[in-house]
Amino acid sequence: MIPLTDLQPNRYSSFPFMTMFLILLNMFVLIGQFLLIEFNLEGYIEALYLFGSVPTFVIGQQAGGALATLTSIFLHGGIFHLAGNMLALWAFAQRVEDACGPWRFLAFYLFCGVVADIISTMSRSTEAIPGIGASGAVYGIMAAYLILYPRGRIKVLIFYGFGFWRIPFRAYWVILFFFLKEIPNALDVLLINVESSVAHWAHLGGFFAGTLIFLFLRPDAFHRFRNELPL
Amino acid sequence: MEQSELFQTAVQKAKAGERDQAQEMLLKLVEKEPNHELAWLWLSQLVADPEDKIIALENALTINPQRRQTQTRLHQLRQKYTAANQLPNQQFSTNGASHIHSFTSEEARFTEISQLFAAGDIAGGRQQLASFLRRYSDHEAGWWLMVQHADSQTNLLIGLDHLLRLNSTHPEAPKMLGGIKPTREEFLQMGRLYERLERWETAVTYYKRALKSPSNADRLLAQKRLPLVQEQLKLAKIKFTSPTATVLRLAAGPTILYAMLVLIQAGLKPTQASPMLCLGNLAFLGGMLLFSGLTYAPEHPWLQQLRESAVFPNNTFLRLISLMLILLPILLLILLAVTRLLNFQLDLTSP
Repeated sequence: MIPLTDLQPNRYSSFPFMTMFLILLNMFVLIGQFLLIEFNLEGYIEALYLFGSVPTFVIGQQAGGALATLTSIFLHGGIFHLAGNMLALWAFAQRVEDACGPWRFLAFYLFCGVVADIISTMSRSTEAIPGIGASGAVYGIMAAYLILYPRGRIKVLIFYGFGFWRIPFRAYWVILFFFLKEIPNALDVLLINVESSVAHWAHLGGFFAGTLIFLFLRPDAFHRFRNELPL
Repeated sequence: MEQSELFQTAVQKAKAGERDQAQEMLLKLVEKEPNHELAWLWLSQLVADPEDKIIALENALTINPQRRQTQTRLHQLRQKYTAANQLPNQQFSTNGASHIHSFTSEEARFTEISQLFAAGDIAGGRQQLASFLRRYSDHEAGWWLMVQHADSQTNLLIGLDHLLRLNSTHPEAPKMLGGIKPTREEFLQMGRLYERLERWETAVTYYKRALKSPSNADRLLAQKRLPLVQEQLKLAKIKFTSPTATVLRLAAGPTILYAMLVLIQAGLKPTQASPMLCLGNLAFLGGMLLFSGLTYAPEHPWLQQLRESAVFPNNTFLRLISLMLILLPILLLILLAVTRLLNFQLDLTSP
Protein backbone atom coordinates (compact mmCIF):
# COMPACT_ATOMS: atom_id res chain seq x y z
CA MET A 1 0.00 0.00 0.00
CA ILE A 2 1.43 3.38 -1.07
CA PRO A 3 -0.34 6.62 -0.18
CA LEU A 4 -0.62 8.87 -3.26
CA THR A 5 -2.50 12.01 -2.42
CA ASP A 6 -5.01 13.71 -0.18
CA LEU A 7 -8.43 14.11 -1.74
CA GLN A 8 -9.63 16.95 0.43
CA PRO A 9 -8.95 20.68 0.07
CA ASN A 10 -6.98 23.06 2.26
CA ARG A 11 -8.72 25.64 4.42
CA TYR A 12 -6.15 28.33 5.15
CA SER A 13 -3.62 28.32 2.32
CA SER A 14 -3.81 27.53 -1.37
CA PHE A 15 -0.53 25.65 -1.85
CA PRO A 16 1.75 23.69 0.52
CA PHE A 17 4.98 25.56 -0.26
CA MET A 18 7.02 24.09 2.59
CA THR A 19 5.97 20.52 1.76
CA MET A 20 6.99 21.06 -1.84
CA PHE A 21 10.26 22.66 -0.73
CA LEU A 22 11.07 19.68 1.51
CA ILE A 23 10.32 17.22 -1.30
CA LEU A 24 12.53 19.12 -3.74
CA LEU A 25 15.31 19.46 -1.16
CA ASN A 26 15.26 15.71 -0.49
CA MET A 27 15.35 15.05 -4.25
CA PHE A 28 18.31 17.38 -4.80
CA VAL A 29 20.19 15.80 -1.91
CA LEU A 30 19.63 12.34 -3.40
CA ILE A 31 20.89 13.57 -6.78
CA GLY A 32 23.97 14.89 -4.94
CA GLN A 33 24.40 11.49 -3.29
CA PHE A 34 24.23 9.75 -6.70
CA LEU A 35 26.81 12.12 -8.14
CA LEU A 36 29.09 11.47 -5.19
CA ILE A 37 28.69 7.69 -5.61
CA GLU A 38 29.52 8.07 -9.29
CA PHE A 39 32.64 10.17 -8.85
CA ASN A 40 33.89 9.52 -5.31
CA LEU A 41 32.54 6.39 -3.62
CA GLU A 42 34.86 6.69 -0.61
CA GLY A 43 33.83 10.30 -0.16
CA TYR A 44 30.19 9.21 -0.27
CA ILE A 45 30.67 6.58 2.44
CA GLU A 46 32.55 9.09 4.56
CA ALA A 47 29.74 11.66 4.08
CA LEU A 48 27.20 9.02 5.05
CA TYR A 49 28.99 8.49 8.38
CA LEU A 50 29.53 12.18 9.02
CA PHE A 51 26.04 13.43 8.03
CA GLY A 52 24.02 10.33 8.89
CA SER A 53 23.06 9.59 12.47
CA VAL A 54 25.51 7.02 13.87
CA PRO A 55 24.41 5.86 17.38
CA THR A 56 27.95 5.22 18.67
CA PHE A 57 29.02 8.70 17.54
CA VAL A 58 26.01 10.32 19.15
CA ILE A 59 26.47 8.49 22.47
CA GLY A 60 30.25 9.09 22.39
CA GLN A 61 29.75 12.81 21.66
CA GLN A 62 31.69 12.51 18.45
CA ALA A 63 31.25 13.96 14.97
CA GLY A 64 28.40 16.35 14.13
CA GLY A 65 25.97 15.45 16.94
CA ALA A 66 22.90 17.68 16.55
CA LEU A 67 23.98 18.74 13.07
CA ALA A 68 24.23 15.13 11.89
CA THR A 69 20.78 14.41 13.30
CA LEU A 70 19.32 17.22 11.23
CA THR A 71 21.22 16.33 8.05
CA SER A 72 20.34 12.63 8.36
CA ILE A 73 16.66 13.55 7.89
CA PHE A 74 17.45 14.72 4.34
CA LEU A 75 19.58 11.72 3.27
CA HIS A 76 18.08 8.66 1.57
CA GLY A 77 19.35 5.24 0.58
CA GLY A 78 17.97 5.17 -2.96
CA ILE A 79 15.12 6.12 -5.25
CA PHE A 80 12.57 3.73 -3.72
CA HIS A 81 13.44 4.86 -0.20
CA LEU A 82 12.98 8.49 -1.25
CA ALA A 83 9.84 7.83 -3.32
CA GLY A 84 8.11 5.96 -0.48
CA ASN A 85 8.82 8.74 1.98
CA MET A 86 8.04 11.61 -0.36
CA LEU A 87 4.76 10.14 -1.61
CA ALA A 88 3.62 9.74 1.99
CA LEU A 89 4.85 13.23 2.77
CA TRP A 90 2.91 14.67 -0.18
CA ALA A 91 -0.24 12.77 0.78
CA PHE A 92 -0.31 13.69 4.46
CA ALA A 93 1.68 16.89 4.82
CA GLN A 94 -0.43 19.20 2.68
CA ARG A 95 -3.23 19.67 5.17
CA VAL A 96 -0.95 19.44 8.21
CA GLU A 97 1.08 22.33 6.77
CA ASP A 98 -2.20 24.10 6.10
CA ALA A 99 -3.16 23.82 9.77
CA CYS A 100 0.27 24.92 11.02
CA GLY A 101 1.54 27.48 8.54
CA PRO A 102 4.81 26.83 6.64
CA TRP A 103 7.37 27.78 9.30
CA ARG A 104 5.70 26.04 12.21
CA PHE A 105 5.24 23.05 9.91
CA LEU A 106 8.99 23.03 9.19
CA ALA A 107 9.68 23.13 12.94
CA PHE A 108 7.21 20.28 13.45
CA TYR A 109 8.80 18.22 10.66
CA LEU A 110 12.26 18.65 12.18
CA PHE A 111 10.87 18.02 15.67
CA CYS A 112 9.44 14.64 14.60
CA GLY A 113 12.68 13.76 12.77
CA VAL A 114 14.81 14.62 15.80
CA VAL A 115 12.61 12.72 18.28
CA ALA A 116 12.60 9.74 15.88
CA ASP A 117 16.39 9.88 15.74
CA ILE A 118 16.71 9.99 19.53
CA ILE A 119 14.44 6.97 19.95
CA SER A 120 16.26 5.14 17.16
CA THR A 121 19.66 5.90 18.70
CA MET A 122 18.49 4.64 22.08
CA SER A 123 17.16 1.43 20.53
CA ARG A 124 20.46 0.57 18.79
CA SER A 125 22.98 2.46 20.91
CA THR A 126 25.88 0.04 20.24
CA GLU A 127 25.59 0.07 16.45
CA ALA A 128 27.91 2.06 14.22
CA ILE A 129 25.64 2.04 11.18
CA PRO A 130 24.46 5.46 9.95
CA GLY A 131 20.71 5.99 10.13
CA ILE A 132 19.28 8.05 7.31
CA GLY A 133 15.87 8.99 5.95
CA ALA A 134 12.85 11.16 6.51
CA SER A 135 10.59 8.31 7.57
CA GLY A 136 10.57 9.28 11.27
CA ALA A 137 9.44 12.78 10.34
CA VAL A 138 6.90 11.39 7.86
CA TYR A 139 5.45 9.09 10.53
CA GLY A 140 5.12 12.18 12.74
CA ILE A 141 3.19 13.93 9.98
CA MET A 142 0.97 10.87 9.65
CA ALA A 143 0.23 10.90 13.39
CA ALA A 144 -0.64 14.59 13.15
CA TYR A 145 -2.95 13.86 10.22
CA LEU A 146 -4.65 11.11 12.18
CA ILE A 147 -5.29 13.51 15.07
CA LEU A 148 -6.42 16.44 12.94
CA TYR A 149 -8.28 14.78 10.07
CA PRO A 150 -9.04 11.16 10.99
CA ARG A 151 -11.84 10.97 8.44
CA GLY A 152 -9.83 12.56 5.62
CA ARG A 153 -9.72 10.64 2.33
CA ILE A 154 -6.37 9.43 1.04
CA LYS A 155 -5.93 7.88 -2.37
CA VAL A 156 -3.65 4.85 -2.09
CA LEU A 157 -2.02 2.53 -4.57
CA ILE A 158 -2.46 -1.17 -3.83
CA PHE A 159 -0.54 -3.78 -5.78
CA TYR A 160 -1.98 -7.22 -6.54
CA GLY A 161 -0.40 -9.85 -8.74
CA PHE A 162 0.59 -8.00 -11.88
CA GLY A 163 -1.71 -5.03 -11.51
CA PHE A 164 -2.65 -2.29 -9.07
CA TRP A 165 -5.67 -0.42 -7.75
CA ARG A 166 -5.96 3.27 -6.92
CA ILE A 167 -8.55 3.49 -4.15
CA PRO A 168 -9.56 6.27 -1.75
CA PHE A 169 -9.45 5.17 1.89
CA ARG A 170 -10.32 6.91 5.12
CA ALA A 171 -7.12 8.30 6.62
CA TYR A 172 -7.44 6.30 9.84
CA TRP A 173 -7.30 2.99 7.96
CA VAL A 174 -4.17 3.98 6.05
CA ILE A 175 -2.35 5.46 9.03
CA LEU A 176 -3.28 2.69 11.44
CA PHE A 177 -2.06 0.18 8.87
CA PHE A 178 1.36 1.85 8.71
CA PHE A 179 1.49 2.27 12.50
CA LEU A 180 0.41 -1.24 13.43
CA LYS A 181 2.73 -2.96 10.96
CA GLU A 182 5.68 -1.32 12.76
CA ILE A 183 4.85 -2.69 16.20
CA PRO A 184 5.79 -6.39 15.74
CA ASN A 185 8.96 -5.43 13.85
CA ALA A 186 9.98 -2.97 16.54
CA LEU A 187 9.34 -5.59 19.24
CA ASP A 188 11.46 -8.10 17.33
CA VAL A 189 14.36 -5.62 17.26
CA LEU A 190 14.00 -4.89 20.94
CA LEU A 191 13.33 -8.36 22.33
CA ILE A 192 15.16 -10.79 20.10
CA ASN A 193 17.71 -8.48 18.49
CA VAL A 194 16.53 -9.13 14.96
CA GLU A 195 18.77 -7.23 12.56
CA SER A 196 16.79 -4.94 10.29
CA SER A 197 17.78 -2.38 7.69
CA VAL A 198 14.61 -0.41 8.54
CA ALA A 199 14.60 1.83 11.63
CA HIS A 200 11.29 0.66 13.08
CA TRP A 201 11.85 2.45 16.38
CA ALA A 202 12.50 5.68 14.51
CA HIS A 203 9.12 5.25 12.84
CA LEU A 204 7.38 4.70 16.18
CA GLY A 205 9.35 7.56 17.79
CA GLY A 206 8.32 9.90 14.97
CA PHE A 207 4.73 8.75 15.32
CA PHE A 208 4.66 9.51 19.04
CA ALA A 209 6.34 12.89 18.45
CA GLY A 210 3.58 13.65 15.93
CA THR A 211 0.98 13.50 18.69
CA LEU A 212 2.37 16.83 19.92
CA ILE A 213 1.06 18.54 16.77
CA PHE A 214 -1.10 20.87 18.87
CA LEU A 215 2.09 22.70 19.95
CA PHE A 216 2.56 23.79 16.35
CA LEU A 217 -0.98 24.54 15.17
CA ARG A 218 -1.83 28.06 14.10
CA PRO A 219 -4.12 29.77 16.66
CA ASP A 220 -7.29 29.68 14.52
CA ALA A 221 -6.77 26.01 13.65
CA PHE A 222 -6.10 25.21 17.31
CA HIS A 223 -9.36 26.99 18.25
CA ARG A 224 -11.31 24.94 15.72
CA PHE A 225 -9.59 21.75 16.87
CA ARG A 226 -10.51 22.39 20.53
CA ASN A 227 -14.10 23.17 19.66
CA GLU A 228 -14.49 20.15 17.41
CA LEU A 229 -15.19 22.29 14.36
CA PRO A 230 -14.04 21.18 10.92
CA LEU A 231 -10.40 22.16 10.48
CA MET B 1 -61.94 83.83 19.63
CA GLU B 2 -63.49 80.48 20.43
CA GLN B 3 -61.20 77.48 20.87
CA SER B 4 -62.55 75.69 17.80
CA GLU B 5 -62.29 78.88 15.78
CA LEU B 6 -58.73 79.39 16.97
CA PHE B 7 -57.85 75.83 15.98
CA GLN B 8 -59.44 76.18 12.51
CA THR B 9 -57.56 79.43 11.87
CA ALA B 10 -54.28 77.89 13.01
CA VAL B 11 -54.79 74.94 10.69
CA GLN B 12 -55.59 77.22 7.75
CA LYS B 13 -52.47 79.26 8.44
CA ALA B 14 -50.40 76.13 8.68
CA LYS B 15 -51.73 74.93 5.35
CA ALA B 16 -51.03 78.34 3.84
CA GLY B 17 -47.41 78.05 4.91
CA GLU B 18 -47.54 80.59 7.73
CA ARG B 19 -46.00 78.16 10.15
CA ASP B 20 -44.81 80.57 12.83
CA GLN B 21 -48.20 82.20 13.25
CA ALA B 22 -49.93 78.82 13.24
CA GLN B 23 -47.55 77.53 15.90
CA GLU B 24 -48.13 80.58 18.08
CA MET B 25 -51.89 80.16 17.87
CA LEU B 26 -51.74 76.46 18.67
CA LEU B 27 -49.54 77.10 21.67
CA LYS B 28 -52.10 79.58 22.97
CA LEU B 29 -54.77 76.96 22.37
CA VAL B 30 -53.02 74.17 24.29
CA GLU B 31 -52.33 76.58 27.10
CA LYS B 32 -56.04 77.11 27.49
CA GLU B 33 -57.08 73.58 26.59
CA PRO B 34 -54.28 71.07 27.39
CA ASN B 35 -56.43 68.09 26.33
CA HIS B 36 -56.84 69.21 22.73
CA GLU B 37 -55.36 66.20 20.98
CA LEU B 38 -55.47 67.58 17.43
CA ALA B 39 -53.73 70.78 18.53
CA TRP B 40 -50.85 68.72 19.89
CA LEU B 41 -50.70 66.70 16.71
CA TRP B 42 -50.55 69.82 14.55
CA LEU B 43 -47.96 71.29 16.90
CA SER B 44 -45.84 68.18 16.45
CA GLN B 45 -45.79 68.95 12.74
CA LEU B 46 -45.01 72.63 13.15
CA VAL B 47 -42.30 72.80 15.81
CA ALA B 48 -38.79 72.58 14.44
CA ASP B 49 -36.99 70.99 17.37
CA PRO B 50 -37.27 67.16 17.27
CA GLU B 51 -37.36 67.04 21.07
CA ASP B 52 -40.39 69.31 21.04
CA LYS B 53 -41.98 67.10 18.37
CA ILE B 54 -41.57 64.08 20.63
CA ILE B 55 -43.10 65.82 23.65
CA ALA B 56 -46.03 67.09 21.59
CA LEU B 57 -46.68 63.57 20.33
CA GLU B 58 -46.37 62.12 23.83
CA ASN B 59 -49.00 64.56 25.03
CA ALA B 60 -51.27 63.67 22.15
CA LEU B 61 -50.81 60.00 22.99
CA THR B 62 -51.65 60.62 26.66
CA ILE B 63 -54.94 62.17 25.59
CA ASN B 64 -55.70 59.41 23.10
CA PRO B 65 -53.55 56.30 23.64
CA GLN B 66 -55.45 54.36 20.96
CA ARG B 67 -54.44 56.45 17.95
CA ARG B 68 -52.12 54.23 15.96
CA GLN B 69 -50.61 56.92 13.75
CA THR B 70 -49.43 58.83 16.84
CA GLN B 71 -47.89 55.69 18.30
CA THR B 72 -46.07 54.89 15.06
CA ARG B 73 -44.82 58.43 14.53
CA LEU B 74 -43.60 58.65 18.15
CA HIS B 75 -41.86 55.30 17.86
CA GLN B 76 -40.11 56.38 14.67
CA LEU B 77 -38.94 59.63 16.20
CA ARG B 78 -37.66 57.92 19.34
CA GLN B 79 -35.74 55.37 17.32
CA LYS B 80 -34.17 58.13 15.25
CA TYR B 81 -33.16 59.88 18.43
CA THR B 82 -31.72 56.85 20.13
CA ALA B 83 -29.62 56.24 17.02
CA ALA B 84 -28.32 59.78 17.10
CA ASN B 85 -27.68 59.59 20.88
CA GLN B 86 -29.79 62.66 21.48
CA LEU B 87 -32.15 61.91 24.26
CA PRO B 88 -35.01 64.35 24.60
CA ASN B 89 -34.68 65.25 28.20
CA GLN B 90 -34.90 69.03 28.04
CA GLN B 91 -37.82 71.25 28.78
CA PHE B 92 -40.16 72.14 25.93
CA SER B 93 -38.55 75.18 24.41
CA THR B 94 -41.64 77.09 23.35
CA ASN B 95 -43.41 79.63 25.49
CA GLY B 96 -46.15 78.90 27.96
CA ALA B 97 -45.75 75.15 28.09
CA SER B 98 -45.29 74.53 31.78
CA HIS B 99 -47.90 71.72 31.79
CA ILE B 100 -46.14 69.81 29.06
CA HIS B 101 -44.47 66.66 30.31
CA SER B 102 -40.72 66.57 30.59
CA PHE B 103 -38.12 64.37 32.28
CA THR B 104 -38.74 66.06 35.62
CA SER B 105 -42.48 65.61 35.44
CA GLU B 106 -42.01 61.94 34.43
CA GLU B 107 -40.12 61.24 37.63
CA ALA B 108 -42.51 63.33 39.68
CA ARG B 109 -45.42 61.36 38.26
CA PHE B 110 -43.69 58.08 39.00
CA THR B 111 -43.06 59.19 42.58
CA GLU B 112 -46.76 59.99 42.94
CA ILE B 113 -47.67 56.53 41.66
CA SER B 114 -45.18 54.85 43.99
CA GLN B 115 -46.71 56.77 46.87
CA LEU B 116 -50.14 55.47 45.92
CA PHE B 117 -48.86 51.90 46.24
CA ALA B 118 -47.12 52.73 49.50
CA ALA B 119 -50.37 54.16 50.83
CA GLY B 120 -52.14 50.90 50.04
CA ASP B 121 -54.19 52.11 47.06
CA ILE B 122 -53.12 49.16 44.92
CA ALA B 123 -55.99 49.30 42.40
CA GLY B 124 -55.59 53.03 41.85
CA GLY B 125 -51.83 52.67 41.68
CA ARG B 126 -52.12 49.93 39.05
CA GLN B 127 -54.43 52.05 36.92
CA GLN B 128 -52.14 55.07 37.13
CA LEU B 129 -49.09 52.94 36.51
CA ALA B 130 -50.62 51.36 33.41
CA SER B 131 -51.32 54.79 31.99
CA PHE B 132 -47.81 55.96 32.95
CA LEU B 133 -46.18 52.96 31.28
CA ARG B 134 -48.18 53.44 28.11
CA ARG B 135 -46.50 56.81 27.77
CA TYR B 136 -43.08 55.98 29.23
CA SER B 137 -42.66 52.48 27.94
CA ASP B 138 -38.89 52.54 28.61
CA HIS B 139 -39.21 53.30 32.33
CA GLU B 140 -37.43 50.38 34.00
CA ALA B 141 -38.44 51.23 37.56
CA GLY B 142 -42.03 51.59 36.37
CA TRP B 143 -42.04 48.09 34.92
CA TRP B 144 -40.46 46.69 38.06
CA LEU B 145 -43.25 48.31 40.10
CA MET B 146 -45.73 46.70 37.69
CA VAL B 147 -44.10 43.31 38.21
CA GLN B 148 -44.24 43.68 41.97
CA HIS B 149 -47.91 44.63 41.95
CA ALA B 150 -49.21 42.61 39.00
CA ASP B 151 -52.79 41.45 39.50
CA SER B 152 -52.46 38.33 37.31
CA GLN B 153 -49.76 35.98 36.08
CA THR B 154 -50.32 37.23 32.50
CA ASN B 155 -49.59 40.80 33.58
CA LEU B 156 -46.64 39.61 35.61
CA LEU B 157 -45.17 37.96 32.50
CA ILE B 158 -45.79 41.06 30.40
CA GLY B 159 -44.13 43.20 33.06
CA LEU B 160 -41.14 40.86 33.27
CA ASP B 161 -40.83 40.85 29.49
CA HIS B 162 -40.58 44.64 29.40
CA LEU B 163 -38.31 44.73 32.43
CA LEU B 164 -35.86 42.26 30.88
CA ARG B 165 -36.08 44.01 27.54
CA LEU B 166 -34.77 47.12 29.29
CA ASN B 167 -32.35 45.40 31.64
CA SER B 168 -31.55 41.74 31.04
CA THR B 169 -29.35 41.68 34.17
CA HIS B 170 -32.01 42.92 36.60
CA PRO B 171 -31.02 41.23 39.88
CA GLU B 172 -34.54 40.44 41.12
CA ALA B 173 -36.11 39.33 37.84
CA PRO B 174 -34.68 35.76 37.82
CA LYS B 175 -36.04 35.09 41.33
CA MET B 176 -39.43 36.41 40.30
CA LEU B 177 -39.35 34.30 37.15
CA GLY B 178 -38.28 31.20 39.09
CA GLY B 179 -41.42 31.45 41.25
CA ILE B 180 -43.81 31.31 38.31
CA LYS B 181 -45.74 28.14 37.56
CA PRO B 182 -46.66 28.62 33.92
CA THR B 183 -49.74 27.21 32.24
CA ARG B 184 -49.52 25.46 28.85
CA GLU B 185 -50.40 28.75 27.15
CA GLU B 186 -47.50 30.51 28.84
CA PHE B 187 -44.61 28.21 27.87
CA LEU B 188 -43.70 30.31 24.86
CA GLN B 189 -43.56 33.46 26.93
CA MET B 190 -41.44 31.71 29.55
CA GLY B 191 -39.03 30.59 26.84
CA ARG B 192 -38.80 34.14 25.60
CA LEU B 193 -38.09 35.45 29.11
CA TYR B 194 -35.35 32.92 29.74
CA GLU B 195 -33.94 33.80 26.34
CA ARG B 196 -33.77 37.42 27.44
CA LEU B 197 -31.91 36.26 30.55
CA GLU B 198 -29.55 34.28 28.26
CA ARG B 199 -30.39 31.08 30.15
CA TRP B 200 -30.40 29.08 26.98
CA GLU B 201 -30.97 25.63 28.44
CA THR B 202 -34.12 26.65 30.31
CA ALA B 203 -35.28 28.58 27.24
CA VAL B 204 -34.84 25.45 25.13
CA THR B 205 -36.89 23.44 27.66
CA TYR B 206 -39.77 25.90 27.56
CA TYR B 207 -39.67 26.24 23.77
CA LYS B 208 -39.83 22.46 23.50
CA ARG B 209 -42.86 22.45 25.78
CA ALA B 210 -44.38 25.26 23.70
CA LEU B 211 -44.19 22.97 20.66
CA LYS B 212 -47.11 21.11 22.23
CA SER B 213 -49.03 24.29 23.03
CA PRO B 214 -52.75 24.36 22.10
CA SER B 215 -52.16 27.64 20.24
CA ASN B 216 -51.06 27.24 16.64
CA ALA B 217 -49.24 30.59 16.70
CA ASP B 218 -47.29 29.58 19.81
CA ARG B 219 -46.24 26.32 18.20
CA LEU B 220 -45.02 28.11 15.09
CA LEU B 221 -43.12 30.73 17.07
CA ALA B 222 -41.55 28.06 19.28
CA GLN B 223 -40.49 26.14 16.15
CA LYS B 224 -38.85 29.28 14.82
CA ARG B 225 -37.05 30.24 18.05
CA LEU B 226 -35.91 26.76 19.09
CA PRO B 227 -33.08 26.25 16.56
CA LEU B 228 -31.78 29.77 17.20
CA VAL B 229 -31.63 29.23 20.95
CA GLN B 230 -30.07 25.80 20.48
CA GLU B 231 -27.39 27.48 18.37
CA GLN B 232 -26.80 29.94 21.22
CA LEU B 233 -26.53 26.99 23.58
CA LYS B 234 -23.72 25.59 21.46
CA LEU B 235 -21.99 28.95 21.25
CA ALA B 236 -22.12 29.34 25.00
CA LYS B 237 -19.98 26.19 25.27
CA ILE B 238 -17.15 27.52 23.11
CA LYS B 239 -13.77 26.90 24.69
CA PHE B 240 -11.70 30.02 24.42
CA THR B 241 -7.92 29.99 24.62
CA SER B 242 -6.30 32.77 26.59
CA PRO B 243 -3.57 34.78 24.83
CA THR B 244 -1.09 33.58 27.48
CA ALA B 245 -1.87 29.95 26.67
CA THR B 246 -1.45 30.63 22.93
CA VAL B 247 1.91 32.31 23.47
CA LEU B 248 3.14 29.50 25.74
CA ARG B 249 1.88 26.81 23.35
CA LEU B 250 3.54 28.29 20.30
CA ALA B 251 6.81 28.91 22.14
CA ALA B 252 6.88 25.38 23.59
CA GLY B 253 7.23 23.38 20.34
CA PRO B 254 10.40 24.99 18.93
CA THR B 255 11.90 25.23 22.43
CA ILE B 256 11.49 21.48 22.95
CA LEU B 257 13.06 20.93 19.51
CA TYR B 258 16.07 23.01 20.54
CA ALA B 259 16.30 21.13 23.85
CA MET B 260 16.29 17.81 21.96
CA LEU B 261 19.15 18.99 19.77
CA VAL B 262 21.11 20.07 22.87
CA LEU B 263 20.44 16.62 24.34
CA ILE B 264 21.80 14.92 21.20
CA GLN B 265 24.84 17.22 21.28
CA ALA B 266 25.39 16.03 24.87
CA GLY B 267 25.33 12.34 23.81
CA LEU B 268 21.81 11.83 25.25
CA LYS B 269 23.22 12.53 28.72
CA PRO B 270 21.42 15.58 30.11
CA THR B 271 23.96 16.08 32.89
CA GLN B 272 26.73 16.49 30.34
CA ALA B 273 24.97 19.20 28.36
CA SER B 274 27.08 22.27 27.66
CA PRO B 275 26.20 25.13 30.07
CA MET B 276 26.42 27.50 27.14
CA LEU B 277 23.79 25.52 25.26
CA CYS B 278 21.58 25.34 28.37
CA LEU B 279 21.74 29.10 28.63
CA GLY B 280 21.10 29.21 24.91
CA ASN B 281 17.97 27.13 25.46
CA LEU B 282 16.70 29.62 28.02
CA ALA B 283 17.44 32.51 25.66
CA PHE B 284 15.69 30.62 22.87
CA LEU B 285 12.63 30.16 25.10
CA GLY B 286 12.63 33.87 25.93
CA GLY B 287 12.96 34.76 22.25
CA MET B 288 10.14 32.43 21.24
CA LEU B 289 7.85 33.78 23.97
CA LEU B 290 8.57 37.33 22.87
CA PHE B 291 8.17 36.53 19.18
CA SER B 292 4.91 34.58 19.67
CA GLY B 293 3.58 37.32 21.93
CA LEU B 294 4.38 40.06 19.42
CA THR B 295 2.83 38.06 16.59
CA TYR B 296 -0.29 36.66 18.24
CA ALA B 297 -0.99 38.74 21.35
CA PRO B 298 0.57 42.19 20.84
CA GLU B 299 -1.71 43.70 23.50
CA HIS B 300 -0.68 41.15 26.15
CA PRO B 301 -0.05 42.75 29.59
CA TRP B 302 3.51 41.33 29.70
CA LEU B 303 4.34 43.11 26.47
CA GLN B 304 2.62 46.29 27.65
CA GLN B 305 4.85 46.24 30.73
CA LEU B 306 7.93 45.78 28.56
CA ARG B 307 6.90 48.66 26.31
CA GLU B 308 6.31 50.92 29.30
CA SER B 309 9.89 50.40 30.45
CA ALA B 310 12.51 52.72 29.02
CA VAL B 311 14.67 49.78 27.85
CA PHE B 312 12.19 48.41 25.30
CA PRO B 313 10.60 51.45 23.70
CA ASN B 314 8.73 49.96 20.72
CA ASN B 315 7.60 46.84 18.87
CA THR B 316 10.34 46.91 16.22
CA PHE B 317 13.01 46.93 18.89
CA LEU B 318 11.29 44.10 20.77
CA ARG B 319 10.97 42.08 17.57
CA LEU B 320 14.68 42.54 16.85
CA ILE B 321 15.55 41.37 20.35
CA SER B 322 13.29 38.34 20.00
CA LEU B 323 14.93 37.38 16.69
CA MET B 324 18.39 37.76 18.24
CA LEU B 325 17.38 35.61 21.20
CA ILE B 326 16.19 32.92 18.77
CA LEU B 327 18.98 33.07 16.21
CA LEU B 328 22.01 33.39 18.52
CA PRO B 329 21.41 30.07 20.33
CA ILE B 330 20.85 28.38 16.95
CA LEU B 331 24.12 29.79 15.65
CA LEU B 332 25.87 28.73 18.86
CA LEU B 333 24.57 25.16 18.48
CA ILE B 334 25.61 25.01 14.81
CA LEU B 335 29.03 26.45 15.68
CA LEU B 336 29.65 23.86 18.40
CA ALA B 337 28.43 21.01 16.17
CA VAL B 338 30.52 22.12 13.19
CA THR B 339 33.62 22.58 15.37
CA ARG B 340 33.22 19.08 16.72
CA LEU B 341 32.65 17.71 13.23
CA LEU B 342 35.80 19.42 11.90
CA ASN B 343 37.88 18.08 14.78
CA PHE B 344 36.58 14.54 14.24
CA GLN B 345 38.81 12.00 12.47
CA LEU B 346 36.73 9.34 10.80
CA ASP B 347 38.39 5.92 10.82
CA LEU B 348 36.46 3.52 8.62
CA THR B 349 39.04 0.77 9.02
CA SER B 350 38.38 0.21 12.73
CA PRO B 351 35.60 -2.32 13.57
